[in-house]
Amino acid sequence: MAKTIIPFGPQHPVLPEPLQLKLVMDEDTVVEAIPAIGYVHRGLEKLAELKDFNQTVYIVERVCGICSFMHSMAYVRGIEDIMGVVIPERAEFLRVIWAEIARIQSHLLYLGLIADGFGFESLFMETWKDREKILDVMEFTTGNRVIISANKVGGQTKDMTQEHFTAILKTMDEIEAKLKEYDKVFINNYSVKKRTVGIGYLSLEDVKEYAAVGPMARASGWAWDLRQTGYSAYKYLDFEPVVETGGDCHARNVVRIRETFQSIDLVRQAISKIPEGEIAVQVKGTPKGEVISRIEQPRGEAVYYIKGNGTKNLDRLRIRTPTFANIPTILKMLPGSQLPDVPIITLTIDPCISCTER
Amino acid sequence: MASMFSIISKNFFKDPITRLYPKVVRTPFERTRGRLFNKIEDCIYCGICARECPADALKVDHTNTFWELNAFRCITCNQCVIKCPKKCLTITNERRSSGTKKTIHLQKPTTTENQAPK
Amino acid sequence: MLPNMLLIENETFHFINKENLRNEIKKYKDDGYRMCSITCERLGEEEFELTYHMDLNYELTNLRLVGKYSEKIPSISHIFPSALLHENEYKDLFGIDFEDLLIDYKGNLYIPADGTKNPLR
Repeated sequence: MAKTIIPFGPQHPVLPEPLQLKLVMDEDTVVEAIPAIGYVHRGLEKLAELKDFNQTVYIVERVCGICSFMHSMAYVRGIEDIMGVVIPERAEFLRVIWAEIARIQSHLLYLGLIADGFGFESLFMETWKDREKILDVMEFTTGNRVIISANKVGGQTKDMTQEHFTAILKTMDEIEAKLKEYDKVFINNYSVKKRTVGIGYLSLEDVKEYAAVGPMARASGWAWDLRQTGYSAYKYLDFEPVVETGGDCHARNVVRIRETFQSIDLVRQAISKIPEGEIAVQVKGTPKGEVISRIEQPRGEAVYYIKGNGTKNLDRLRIRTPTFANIPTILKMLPGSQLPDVPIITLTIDPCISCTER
Repeated sequence: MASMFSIISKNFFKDPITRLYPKVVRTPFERTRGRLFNKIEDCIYCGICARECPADALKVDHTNTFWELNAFRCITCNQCVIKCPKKCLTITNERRSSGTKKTIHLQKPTTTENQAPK
Repeated sequence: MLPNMLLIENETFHFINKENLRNEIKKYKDDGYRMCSITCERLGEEEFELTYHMDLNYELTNLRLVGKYSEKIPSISHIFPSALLHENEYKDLFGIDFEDLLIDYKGNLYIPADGTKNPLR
């Protein structure tokens, strides 16, 4: 029986960014899947060698539109470690507050896209309606909705007053109330469970062999969360990593919903513990040395390699994003599944292709 | 069945959550980054803002007293405002409305000003 | 300092060469390490250095390998499948020749057929 090859093409209504999968089919079952990327390559690693190390903060922020705050946070922490700069405590707490708000926004976007993936348009609109409230909070405190440019080498560029904190806490209460109304739809609804339970199974040995990161690993029973090491202001906050043991698409949805509730709690804790003080220190000199800087983004662990040679331009900047590490798991999950399940399985890794290709 | 009826009647009598733009315009927040504005009388044409811009959107010439901003390239990142020695650059919170000219060109006030229409 | 790590010469690396690369990586895998990332940096006109970062319980170990552009480097994608994307990217951007890859894109992962060759070399 001759095999057919179906291209799950770069343009697809379900995918937010272009990714091509060539599916080798046998009747209705997928036998093999070959990914092909490279549609949004912009060459940002080369551009970072031509600009000043202070101007590179603006380049690194624009690698991705959803996880943009955490990219600049990882870069700035790396440069501060090379130059030996210690920033004030208030700046660390401000970074954690903005980072957790960005994590809530990213998980609400994911929930909308997965609802759109199985055709549930009204649920998609409900989650994105709540995401608008978070973007209004970002505009109120920093000036822009998505790419906020609040980090610089040596601290933060903007401060928050008591009025800002009151607005943030009010928004957190509203979002928590709305989320409790419709998270039951993702977890208990009969039609949603028919499409997600038992689909795309990844066992614990597979997670360790393919080195998956983020909620993909935590949904199969491995409690690996980089925030446990206590970098930045996380050492003063109190939380446990969110773990499920199902290993299928349903468990990954549950992990992300529970992480949203956990982030709301972390924002409230950080606002109650923030100290007074300065927000930045003066930085003199240029970086010389090599460092590896890691951070926990909404999709997993991101690794930055920065090398400076004593002049204003950097020698090498290399970014490994979490989707770069999660794409090979598609090679394990897709063979053996049916054709209508392919979009759902591809969306549960939360692909951010512009991060992967820079 | 009864819960669906209560949801339908609640949504039927609620106001829409969208705004009827452009009849109703939202007032911008205080910190919103709209556009760059230069008070040309105080500018000394030193060129520091053009060197600091990460997007290469400014062109400054000291000998001909020439300051030009390419509005399509500006990302309103605030670097030029921080580094200006005379503090003549500000970012206001009103967005630019659409126009027909591509750049803004401001000169010392002896000749006429060409500015993009507001 | 965790989870960041400053790389200082002679203190935080182990140097290996391409003959015992596969055996060393297999030993680390059997001990339970996880492959974090592979980094490449040019060292002049003819040489480059590859660094393999391995991670266990949030602590990193680094292995460094120096090679020449004219030689072939063995690939570790049969031991760790997630290394195939890293190695194909370096084949594209630097022109390094890896042999025995799991999926070989032949230098067309990011750069189209009529683009600049080896932009980062």
